[in-house]
Amino acid sequence: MERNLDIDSFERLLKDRSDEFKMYPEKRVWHSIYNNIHPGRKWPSVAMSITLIGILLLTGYLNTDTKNAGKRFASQNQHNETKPADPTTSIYIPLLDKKHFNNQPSKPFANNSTLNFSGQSFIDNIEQQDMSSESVNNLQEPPNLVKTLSGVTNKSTGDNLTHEHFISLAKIESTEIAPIKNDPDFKTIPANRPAIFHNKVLIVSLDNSENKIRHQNVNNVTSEKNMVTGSETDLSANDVSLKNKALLSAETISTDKNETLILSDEEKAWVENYAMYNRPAPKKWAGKLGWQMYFTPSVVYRQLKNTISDGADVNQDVAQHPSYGLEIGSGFTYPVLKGLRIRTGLQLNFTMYNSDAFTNSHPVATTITLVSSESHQPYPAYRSTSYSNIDGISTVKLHNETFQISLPVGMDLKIAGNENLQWNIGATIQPTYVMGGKSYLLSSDKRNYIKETSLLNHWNVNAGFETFVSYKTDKGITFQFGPQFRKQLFTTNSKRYIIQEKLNNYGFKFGITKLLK
Amino acid sequence: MTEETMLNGCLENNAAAQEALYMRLSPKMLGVCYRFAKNREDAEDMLQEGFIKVFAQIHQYRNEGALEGWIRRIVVHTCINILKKNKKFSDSVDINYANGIGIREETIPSIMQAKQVVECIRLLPVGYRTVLNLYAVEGYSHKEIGDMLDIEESTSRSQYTRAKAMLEDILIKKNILLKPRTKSGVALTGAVASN
Repeated sequence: MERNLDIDSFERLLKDRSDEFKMYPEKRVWHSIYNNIHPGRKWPSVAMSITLIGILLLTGYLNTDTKNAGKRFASQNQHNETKPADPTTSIYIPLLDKKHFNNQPSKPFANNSTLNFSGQSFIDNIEQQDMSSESVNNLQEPPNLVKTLSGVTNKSTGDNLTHEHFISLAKIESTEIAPIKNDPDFKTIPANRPAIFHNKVLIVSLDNSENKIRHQNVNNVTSEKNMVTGSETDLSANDVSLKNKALLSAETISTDKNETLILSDEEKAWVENYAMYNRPAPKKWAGKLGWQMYFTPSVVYRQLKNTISDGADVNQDVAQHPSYGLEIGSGFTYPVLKGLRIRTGLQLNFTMYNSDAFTNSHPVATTITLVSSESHQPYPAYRSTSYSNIDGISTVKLHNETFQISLPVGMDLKIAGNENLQWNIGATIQPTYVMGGKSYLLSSDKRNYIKETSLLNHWNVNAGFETFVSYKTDKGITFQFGPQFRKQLFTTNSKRYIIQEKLNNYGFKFGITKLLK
Repeated sequence: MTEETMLNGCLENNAAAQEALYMRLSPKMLGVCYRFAKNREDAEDMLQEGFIKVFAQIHQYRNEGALEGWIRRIVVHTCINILKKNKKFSDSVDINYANGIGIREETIPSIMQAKQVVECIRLLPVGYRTVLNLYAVEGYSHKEIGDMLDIEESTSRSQYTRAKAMLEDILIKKNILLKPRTKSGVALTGAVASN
């Protein structure tokens, strides 16, 4: 295709127009550039992230606190949920009529007696509910309930409580309406409302922890007025067809055959309130949150670097040997995804590195080179020392030590294995506070060592990498062991000192983790 | 803040000076990146990487030529390096590709704006537009382009010729360039003609 376009004009046109073109980048571009060219200034954001994680964990913990949760909800209920049960929805159910106790029509509740309880349909429909005997045992006196019950039991026969006069109040916590099966006399029980039966009040609670049904007195409610004298009675699980393991607490109170217990609105509201808001909060972390303890003996290496390099490797100017280190820690692990766990905790660290030196009979004057924080120019700082790097009257091993406390935050990833035996890899970032230590600095002329602790950096960051094999026992205890590499990211001493020291720990970690329930 | 102050600040790794330099030049440099990139996000990634290199290598700037030109060269090279990871520039593209580009006649502009030119350039296949950008806009020779893109110099020439022809077609279809009425060449519309 032949083109008649003036090439010079066309190219000039393109260049001029293209050069005029501008676009404004989003702010995140600059933030990314800034973080890249100033990596050390990421620290505030890291600290903020750790703080945020801590707040979230604390919030999560408080929200799983049963007692506090109950108090909070109860408090809310004072404003919102004190409306008494609607009599049109609080259905009277002849649940515990005589026909449902047909095997023992008039047997009193006596110590160690067994009930043949045929109200399966009712029990079947309240199974799986998350209720606890704690609800009954911790029952506080409602304002007027004792008074009302006292009035009902004027004709009580003490221990000889009869089924005919058995009063039950079913406290049912469910978000669904529970249908009563296969019995035309049974109607439905509305959610979160006490079911009030003819002449009967049954306080029911279920607990998955025990495989039996118990009939319990509630003396903490009514003992002062000697209303209830029935004592604990075990009911056979075979007699009551609960599919799950249940704990039933019931209070029996005798009354006239034709007398119906009518609770006042206030009492109904109290029962309703209690049933609704005293349910223990489920522990979402149970069986997942693990408590871990570990220790890691290690060998500590160090790398020296002259920041105002004259081309020489400062590591060649000193006689140094790796020494041992130790980490001991405890923390928590929590699975966030399949095969991925996050963990955090506290860890104590000890590091040591040795330098071979000589001692002199008297101190000598020397200097260390520091960099001015204002002018960024190096200057000599005068010191005196008895340790020589060259010669002396006797040899000595100088121990460079640090004692640290760190907050490792990281994660473990399962690479292979089954439920019990696994191979994992892990990594942590460890903000570290250096509590103390000893540091021997090399003099400017590299002929002497100067003991100088004032230049120790109190804050540092370490990174840990590890791989380990773990074995989980049937009791939920996990043992783990494997190699670990821990790298110190910033220099041991102040940036003002021209020789940077960074430690590398090669260790072997042993740990044990127990799942919390 | 003067350019010298910004430069000295950048040499001292001063964050304020670096931000000032970035704020001054990033709009133009993002425009450069956008001509090479597939979309805005890619262009911003190129800009980010380019400026990181700029600040890392600022001490290599010898005050020979304008600072903006030096930065622009780094940004362009960054764009090319990123493109090279994904594209072989020796790939040939059918010249008839331009005929298949749909142009909405009702949106034909009456004058030629910078954005229109850039958007038309970006309609070219990546190999074409890279060579066209480097040769016509950035001023590199075909030999330099060949070295940068790891292609033959002759390939650069042929790609440029095709790119220019394709771009002309696009501009004419968008009514930004008028079709040739005389043997002397095409006429430019509106503001283009005034240039």
